[in-house]
Amino acid sequence: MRAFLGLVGANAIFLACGWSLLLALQLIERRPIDLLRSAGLALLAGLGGLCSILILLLCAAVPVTIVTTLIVAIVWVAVALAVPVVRRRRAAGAGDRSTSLPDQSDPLRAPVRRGPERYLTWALGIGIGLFFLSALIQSRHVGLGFDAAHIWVFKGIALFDFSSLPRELLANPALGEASQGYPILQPVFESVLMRVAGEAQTHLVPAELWLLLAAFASSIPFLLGRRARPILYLGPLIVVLPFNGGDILVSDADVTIGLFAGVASLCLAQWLSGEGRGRLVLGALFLTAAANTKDEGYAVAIALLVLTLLIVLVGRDWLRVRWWPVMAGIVLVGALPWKIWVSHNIPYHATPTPPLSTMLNPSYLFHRTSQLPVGVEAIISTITNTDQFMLLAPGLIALAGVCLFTRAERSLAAFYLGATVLIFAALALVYWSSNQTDLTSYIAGNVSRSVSDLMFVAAVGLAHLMTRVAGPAFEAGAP
Amino acid sequence: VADFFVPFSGLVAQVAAIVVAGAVVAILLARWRLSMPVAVALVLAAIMLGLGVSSLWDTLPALDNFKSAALSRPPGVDARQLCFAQEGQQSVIPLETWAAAHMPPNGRYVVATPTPGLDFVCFAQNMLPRILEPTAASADYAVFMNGIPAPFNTEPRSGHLPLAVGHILVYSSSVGVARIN
Repeated sequence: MRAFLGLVGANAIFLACGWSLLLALQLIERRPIDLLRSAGLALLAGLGGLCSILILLLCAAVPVTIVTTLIVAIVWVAVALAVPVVRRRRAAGAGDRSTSLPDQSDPLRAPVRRGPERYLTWALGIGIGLFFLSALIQSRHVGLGFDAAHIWVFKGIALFDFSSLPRELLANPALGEASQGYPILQPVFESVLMRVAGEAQTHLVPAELWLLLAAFASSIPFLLGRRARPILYLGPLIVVLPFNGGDILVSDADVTIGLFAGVASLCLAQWLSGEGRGRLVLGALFLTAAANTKDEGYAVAIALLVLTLLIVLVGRDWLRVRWWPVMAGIVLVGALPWKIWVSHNIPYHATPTPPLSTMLNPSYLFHRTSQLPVGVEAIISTITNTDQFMLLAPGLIALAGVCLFTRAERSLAAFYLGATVLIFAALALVYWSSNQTDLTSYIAGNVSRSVSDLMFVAAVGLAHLMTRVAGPAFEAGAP
Repeated sequence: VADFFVPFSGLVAQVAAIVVAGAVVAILLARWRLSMPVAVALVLAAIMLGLGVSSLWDTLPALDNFKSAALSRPPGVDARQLCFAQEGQQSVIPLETWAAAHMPPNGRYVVATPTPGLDFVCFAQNMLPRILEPTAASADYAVFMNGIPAPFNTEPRSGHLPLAVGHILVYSSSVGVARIN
């Protein structure tokens, strides 16, 4: 019962933060149907944003207790809810009576489609819902997996017990297997769950991870809008949802980073495609959350930031060029405090990869040239495994390639293709620069998890591209 | 160079197959005048919806098997202690449980004589909120798991909690918890 209350209570806090943010960004209105439809996105935004702020406080030596968490959440909600009020007053002062959503042509506002497709969508939606329910029930009473016991839940319990960053544990060389320098967003939200539950209930973690994956599954349709055809975007989502199920059962963080990377890429792609600045803020927030979840998240954040800048510069979109520093600023402010804390408090290198300066050292890389093909081959054989990924990566490459060749949705295709290539390159660099003695075993043990962010971005990219490319043809009466 | 490109051949073949399938669909559905991107998108939607739904449901029994194989807990082992069992260190579990029960929750300890191959992280995780210190100088307690050294071994003074400095509680001839500071 306590576990259930913990799960409900903590997610209620995350939802409140997320909904208020979506209201402030004018992505929803204060209507029950809007709140319901945006619940998944609100949960991800609330959890990612609130936990990033809690990390900032922890790095500033502020004790994070249940009271601190509630105060931060209340201040967040109050500020976010004040934004629409201030906006309305300003508009009234300027004599502007349009106080509702600024862009009524937003696809989120499109009319509901009727017909057989609607029943198919409902059937698929119910099927996906039953899958999550079964998976949630199945994950009760599981033990902790190796990485969870040593890294994620270990730190989560420590944060729950001490309400601050326990330097004795995080800087203890005897505990090197805990990868103490790893980012801590997942341990932070685990500690919030435990605090609300009142005790260190470890089986809350897989339950929360299933909820987050379900939130991701409902975020994509919400962001794509009601004009998007579900039969076009549901395929890639259905393929990507179950592949990391084992990692959820063992309470790892691979799904967490994957879904943040996926939603971030969609928000930024939509911003590049001309949708409002709300998408930019959400994209930056999700990039921050990804960077705060795992080291790979920094690579995702850098890749997407660089790519976004390149696309707006090449497109000479000077308005968006001016907004780019805002996005980069949000990511820097949100993601750097943990790195700074680690560099000041952990006297030795406590992550399984060498420091970035070493990874980018040409001489160091040259002496490990033989490792590059090993890593590349492992990544490619994993992402082309049709039993697991049903052509997600080749599908994205094919569709984006055809789009670029035929000049259809070029910037969108370039963005997603570029994102997957850069994330691929970052992972290949990790294996290339690895100092593991038995590299083959090391890669074999983690490559199927490490491609998580890549596959989530590929799935989201494919879903987005497919709806943008084939949607108008459907509207025109194609099969 | 050739070795480097060999792994890409499977990927190239899959990409080519999708593009060819898209071209075939565009030709077969010529009366709708589908562009290549639309045809490729339709092919991908059909493949992923068709195969993805069955794969979604196949995942549940696979997860159940995984849970039974990798995450089921032996009797008497709780979720947090599974890391000992996974590494064949199940014998550590009663020692750890006993040590945690005989040290206050705010205790700071070192493992003075660890069992061979002890998983320190798993031990530290299970001992929380007691803190594993890097050195004896900053610890209040010493945990002996593999022999009790002098001066504690001369005359074990098993007493009651809280332990006075220099006193030891013993679990067996080689296992004990001593107050050192």
